[in-house]
Amino acid sequence: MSAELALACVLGAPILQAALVMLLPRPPGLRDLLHMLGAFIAAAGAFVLVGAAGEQSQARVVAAHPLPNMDLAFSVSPLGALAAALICGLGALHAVHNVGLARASGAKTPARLMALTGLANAGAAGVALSDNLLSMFIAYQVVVMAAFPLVALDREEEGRAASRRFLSTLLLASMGLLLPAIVWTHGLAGAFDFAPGGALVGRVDSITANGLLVLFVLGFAGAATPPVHGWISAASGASYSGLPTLYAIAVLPSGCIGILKVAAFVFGPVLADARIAALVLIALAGVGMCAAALVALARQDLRERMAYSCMAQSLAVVTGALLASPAGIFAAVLQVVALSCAAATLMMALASVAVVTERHSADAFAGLGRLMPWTFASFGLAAASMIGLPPFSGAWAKLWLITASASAGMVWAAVLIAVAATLTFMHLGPLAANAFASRAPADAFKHPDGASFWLVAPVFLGALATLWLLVMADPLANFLSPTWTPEP
Amino acid sequence: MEAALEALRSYGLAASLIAPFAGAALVALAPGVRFAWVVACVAAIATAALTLAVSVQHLFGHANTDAAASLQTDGASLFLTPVLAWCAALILIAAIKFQQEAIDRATPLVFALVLATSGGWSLALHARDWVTLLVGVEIGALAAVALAALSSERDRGGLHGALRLFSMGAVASALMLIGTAMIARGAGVDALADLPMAFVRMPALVAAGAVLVVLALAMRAALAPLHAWGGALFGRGGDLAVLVVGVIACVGAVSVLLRIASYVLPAPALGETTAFTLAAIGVASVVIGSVQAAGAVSVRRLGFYAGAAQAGCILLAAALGSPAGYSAALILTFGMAVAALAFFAGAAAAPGERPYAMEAIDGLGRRAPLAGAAMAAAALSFMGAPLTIGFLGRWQLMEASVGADWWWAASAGIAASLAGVFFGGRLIERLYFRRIVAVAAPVGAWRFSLGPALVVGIVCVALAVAPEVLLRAAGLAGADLAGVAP
Repeated sequence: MSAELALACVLGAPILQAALVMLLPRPPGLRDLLHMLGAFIAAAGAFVLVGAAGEQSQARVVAAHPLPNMDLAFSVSPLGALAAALICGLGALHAVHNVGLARASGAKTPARLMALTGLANAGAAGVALSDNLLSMFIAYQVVVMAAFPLVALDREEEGRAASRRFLSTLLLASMGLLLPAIVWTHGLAGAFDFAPGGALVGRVDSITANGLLVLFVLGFAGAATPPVHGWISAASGASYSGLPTLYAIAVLPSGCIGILKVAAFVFGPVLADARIAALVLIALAGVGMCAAALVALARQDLRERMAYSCMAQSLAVVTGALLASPAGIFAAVLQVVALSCAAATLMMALASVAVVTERHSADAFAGLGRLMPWTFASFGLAAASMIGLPPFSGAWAKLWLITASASAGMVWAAVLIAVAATLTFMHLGPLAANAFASRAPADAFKHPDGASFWLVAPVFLGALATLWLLVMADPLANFLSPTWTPEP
Repeated sequence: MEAALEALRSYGLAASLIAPFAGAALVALAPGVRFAWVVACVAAIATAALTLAVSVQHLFGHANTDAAASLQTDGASLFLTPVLAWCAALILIAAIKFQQEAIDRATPLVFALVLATSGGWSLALHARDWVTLLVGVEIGALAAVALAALSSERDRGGLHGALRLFSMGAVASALMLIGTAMIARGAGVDALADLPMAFVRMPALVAAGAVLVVLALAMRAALAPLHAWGGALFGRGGDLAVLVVGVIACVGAVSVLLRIASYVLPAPALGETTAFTLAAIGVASVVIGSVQAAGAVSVRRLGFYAGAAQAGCILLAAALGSPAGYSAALILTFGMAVAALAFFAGAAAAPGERPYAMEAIDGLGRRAPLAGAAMAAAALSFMGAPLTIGFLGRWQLMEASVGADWWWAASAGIAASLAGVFFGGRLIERLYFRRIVAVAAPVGAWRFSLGPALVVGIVCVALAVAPEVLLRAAGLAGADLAGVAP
């Protein structure tokens, strides 16, 4: 498969899948097959892209020419390929899980759910693979527009209010902050293109750099940097099947990847000129990280707890991206990988538990690990990764983040990251431990057969994914090095 | 072939302006409603094809204008007349759907009035002098009033709207008459094209006249806050009246305003005052229209107010007076026309006893997928969502504004998009995420006549995916309006 074809598959297969699933909602078998097939084709394409990026192949696909001298274009870069592989790989697992969930729960609108998750994944992959700022903006809008119905899906009035809040937060930030930042950057750089080493190098003064950084970081409200984090709580009541898309695969990661790409390819060394804004934003992210982890600790509803836990992790990405150093960027990339793998596993595990036991509260999880060992073993592994326990992915990410913060002279940021990790341990650790340590409840299953293969397998594979950085951190650093090394 | 091209070159413009009026006369006299409808559709499509052929020939073929003594082509007329003519043709095709329930002796007259409205505004867009322009505007405006009254006769609210349209139109007519008289007196020229080069003896008088003309056309274009006539008509008026006034009359008035701006702005004594007036009305319209759209309780009023905000952006772009500004204004006007067409045609498919109420569109995306898609596409365009014509226009406005250091104008464009998030999101949520509440009345096969308008609306909104031809045409027309060789 050529890199161009792989690129087309990554972006096109989920969209085609969405259209087909909507057109052919019955029979359910065909619908489910189409849904999984689209996700697997996208994942295969994304892994081909990783290979192509490793060989430094140049591949670019132009989808449209929406403005003079500007293409809606997508291209292969190491960061983009890695992020796309992450999104599409987890998207494939989520597709399988969706099928299991739809069958086990008797979902009212499974076709719509499948179509929307496919579209949101395509948008998130588009953000990762975007060739220029405007393409990234458009792909990000696709993520938001495809994800907002997921918040309201299968819910009544409170769901609609939540979806309105979700949409208004994300769209207002992107239209009111991100778009002006892109226009401003275009005015300064004369183009929308990303450039390894920074498109703004030599083109901005310190005041402009500070202003632009604030607009970009807050414009990507998907990353949930305070004060544009309102969507996190609004979306936490979404149906279980939509949660991984919102917090682990599409919305939250696309915000983080957007900030990472801007930090690496638009600012680069110019981040040092935006030191005041970067410091303020890092402080906001650090305090927000701890606050989110604290709020998660206070929540008994597991969807809310996980939502705030994911917010705390995404703010760690923002911190890494703003450290203005290659180590910071690398740490942020590791954190995105760790966050997505762990959050997707946790969200899918919660959904499996909810659908077979109808338990939604933290205190109702006691002893369930004895009845659903595979699901809760995976839950435990993912929770350990989220906390940052070695040898799981999250540990390397946290380690690099703390090191990079300390190297940048921001010991206080390293302390905040450590505090947030401790708080994460407090809200996730006992949950996983209690599931195994307590006595198994009688009559736990509402479904007599427990969780089906379709519900268990993706959760387990997701948990395994949290281990891969153990052996891949060093090769990954080499793979990603073009991201912070300017082309000669 | 050569002969046909030569004939088109020689008589195309005149024929394209005569066709709607000749068609209207034939329709008014035609026996039988359906026969009248067929004749009206043929006349409208012929007019649209002719205007498009003339525009392509002049814009891309650089053909010389060989028009009648009182006619003249320029960038605005060449770019926007085909838009108006095609919208009129699509509305006429759909018109039979609206008139099915109330066929009476006046129905052929309704079809004729659609043609007359389109013809009047087209004439104003091709006027060489102020008198012809006034005649064209009055024909278009009065035909729209008559149409509003005839197609809203079953609802007193609609009739009230027609009366308001007439009253405000009368004020606008008076202002325009006085304004044109002041310009002609102060500048000593009748022809629009002579104004930029004219020796202005009484600059204050001419400037005041230009402001009055701008205000008069702003009233007709429903620019906020001069759009008080619209609430009643768009709230309770007939579907056909809403479509014709919302798409043809409002867009026609904005187009004429844009055209006049291109002649007045370069005039040394008038440019500054006119630019200020245009910008002030533009900003006010963006702000007020957006706020009203966000709070609208009637779906058609929402479209009307969103259109007012979009028209405000057009005025801002026109106020720049540069080729980029005119190009942006033309794209925005095109976007306004197609989004309004898709929106109001989609809204016309809403069922229930109160089809204008917001609840009527609950679940419309599932009950009538094409109508729902058209309304969603229009809402996204009004919002300025990427890959829609609305985004393309706003982007061009921002580029042109930033190029001229008018950061506040770019901010107004962004503010319009921000407000669009509220009403666009609300609309899409109702279309797709609410249960169907309104009871659908039994519908006949004529509902399919609405299809072409919906499909063309969606396609045109999506033209922003590959807008090369549109941008090239707008660039050429914008350069022509700015008096710059392309």
